[in-house]
Amino acid sequence: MTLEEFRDEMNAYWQSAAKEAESLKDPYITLERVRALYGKFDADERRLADQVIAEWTVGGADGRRWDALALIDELKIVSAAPALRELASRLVRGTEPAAAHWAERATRIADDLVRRTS
Amino acid sequence: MVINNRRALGPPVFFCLKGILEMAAQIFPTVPVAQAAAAPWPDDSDQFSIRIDEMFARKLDTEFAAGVRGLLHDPETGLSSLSGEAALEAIAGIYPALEALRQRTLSEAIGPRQRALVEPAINTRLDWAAGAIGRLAESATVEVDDASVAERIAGLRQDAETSWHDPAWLKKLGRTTVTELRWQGERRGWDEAETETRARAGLSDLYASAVEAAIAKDLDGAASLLAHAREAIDPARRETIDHRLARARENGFLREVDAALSALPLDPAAPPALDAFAARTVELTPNDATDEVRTRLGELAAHAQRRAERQWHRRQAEAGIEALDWLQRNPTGSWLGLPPDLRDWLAPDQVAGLETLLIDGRLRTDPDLFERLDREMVYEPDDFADRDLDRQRLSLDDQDHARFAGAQKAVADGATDPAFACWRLARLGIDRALDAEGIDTFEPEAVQVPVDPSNASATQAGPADEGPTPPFADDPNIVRVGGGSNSTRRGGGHPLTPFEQMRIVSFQSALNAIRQLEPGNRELSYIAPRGWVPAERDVARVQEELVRARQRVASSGNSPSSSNDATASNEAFHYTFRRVQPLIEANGLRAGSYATTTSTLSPLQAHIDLALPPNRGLPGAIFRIDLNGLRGAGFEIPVPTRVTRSYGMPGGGHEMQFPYDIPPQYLKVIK
Repeated sequence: MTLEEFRDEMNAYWQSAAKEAESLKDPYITLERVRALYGKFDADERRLADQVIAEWTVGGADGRRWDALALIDELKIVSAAPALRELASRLVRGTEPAAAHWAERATRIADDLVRRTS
Repeated sequence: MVINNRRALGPPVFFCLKGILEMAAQIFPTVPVAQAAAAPWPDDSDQFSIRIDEMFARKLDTEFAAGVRGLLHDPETGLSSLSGEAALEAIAGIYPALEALRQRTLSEAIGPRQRALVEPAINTRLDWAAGAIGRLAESATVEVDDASVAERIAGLRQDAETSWHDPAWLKKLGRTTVTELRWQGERRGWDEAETETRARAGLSDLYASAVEAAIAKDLDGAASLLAHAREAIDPARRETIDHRLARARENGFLREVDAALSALPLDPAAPPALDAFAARTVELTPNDATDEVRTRLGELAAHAQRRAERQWHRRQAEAGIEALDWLQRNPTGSWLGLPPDLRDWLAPDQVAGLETLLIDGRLRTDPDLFERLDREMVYEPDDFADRDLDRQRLSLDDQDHARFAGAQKAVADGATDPAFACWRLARLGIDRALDAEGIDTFEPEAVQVPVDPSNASATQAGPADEGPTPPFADDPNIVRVGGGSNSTRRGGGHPLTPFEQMRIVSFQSALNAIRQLEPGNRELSYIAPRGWVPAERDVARVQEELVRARQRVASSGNSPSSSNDATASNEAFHYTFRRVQPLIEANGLRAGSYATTTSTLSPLQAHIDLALPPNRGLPGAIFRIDLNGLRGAGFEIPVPTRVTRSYGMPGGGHEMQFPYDIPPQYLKVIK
């Protein structure tokens, strides 16, 4: 499966989980579903999933960025560190409310991941 | 001397004996011969002694004849009662037996004259017996030979049944069969036509058996063999085989259709409908199908649908049991933990039962179901014995389930269970008493008011009807008793249903809130009899009164702590699960999260007032959201809206959904 195909699959799965979360008025279902999906991936699939989750960090207000940060932090996705740094720099430059907090959080997670690899 | 003796017997001698002696003379011309050592010949002039000897000789001959008959023709033990190999074996032993009988008879003869009279007679009988034995031996030999041939032919036929796929071998078996039967014809002396007829019949049987064996294994192979051997098979038998082959083809086709119908997936949403099975059957039916096949397909579809329906109901029952097991293994779990494929199978009443288990920590009995089962147990025990109690497991508390299960086992086993017997008698007695009072216990409204034998008033109370508001209902000076509308009074003995419990909680929650706002509110002047359960209309009324009270308090400037106007308020409250509490503390509140305006809702109240889905589970943690802080950070605060009725929950609370992620610094766990 190519990265594009895998990305489409992951995004579709996220959308489905988000819909279920909305119907149950429990947004955290989305994270739980994606976490469970990740647990079923083999090593190659996880490498692709890591890339897709890293891309989600640039997600907007639909909760995808929140899910991505939580997953990267929890699953220790080291390959997402550059995406987190990019997110932090974009937030700092942007006008989003509480951007500083999210930038700081992204940086803190990235630092933690780098510290683990060094 | 012998001749003289014979003459001496003369006309007075018994005619039979005379004849016998004549025959003996022909067969044994030299007997009887007086031996040198024999006793002296008696005096032939003594007519009396001659008559005595003749009489004894006749008696001995008669006894000998009876003995021979017994040996040869006794229906149970005689030689002629045997056949085949048994007869041949018996023949080997018959001659010594006859000789022994002969010797015994001769030894009983007294004197030479008696012996001379008896011996030729029994010798003649022995000759006749030898002829009969010869005929029996020949018959037995034919039987043994026929059996041997039949066994041989049967063996060849069995070989053909197992070698139906090998034409060359079948041909050889056929040739052997014909040869065997022709030899048999020669031995039996059949004429040529009979022999050929039997040979053709044997060959026909052989090939027919092979084709029939093939039908059970491979229809195409059977058809091919039949085409090859068609001429060898008897036309009548061939017709039967043709019919069997056609029937087997139909059966094979029906089996394929049945397998296809069995593969139709079961939808947890509803029991399988006959339409779907009929439609699938039509898809699989060839255009040239006969009317008979179409009829059988229709019956098959109906049968498959009934089978699938049974499977569907069983699966639903199993899902309830599995969900119960899961929740008992995971007492702190929520609905979300239940495997989706299990959750999908649960019926609303099962969900309600599990909710009760989550809320109360134990199952509760649905009183209506209890009544139905109880009545069925007493009045329709056969139906009750067939009922799948697993399906009702989540609507019965442990005690009631154990009682019904025990009674069901007793009914099924035909055993006498004292507890069940006592219960049955009590139930019958109560029903008879109510019948005497003119109360029909089989009417639905009677079911709604469970009978409590210890409370006579309960049997007469009945539910209040939907009807006009009681007189002076609006007069605050009148203390009202009863709930009006469809409120029910519990007669005791049966637990509240989950819906009744939730109505009570919701009702009390609204009253408590009203009491906080307006201690003198007239809705608080409400006295209900013990066991009264508010109806939905009662709950809606007090909730509406609560809204009005809040408006009055707000307009008077006495703002309550739980104002609905969250846009102007400093805080909102997010009710969530304990399992996600650490996640929220670390990552903040995710976009899409809901909050409400009050922090005092119990988990059950939150479930009801916020109309949360029944399968969501109860919230166990509350976060306070600092709205002022969010405003200061530039966030726009969403406007709270009234929660309307949904998921069977009345709603009535207020909710707001945040479309953005909220950082943790604006959140605080308060419970």
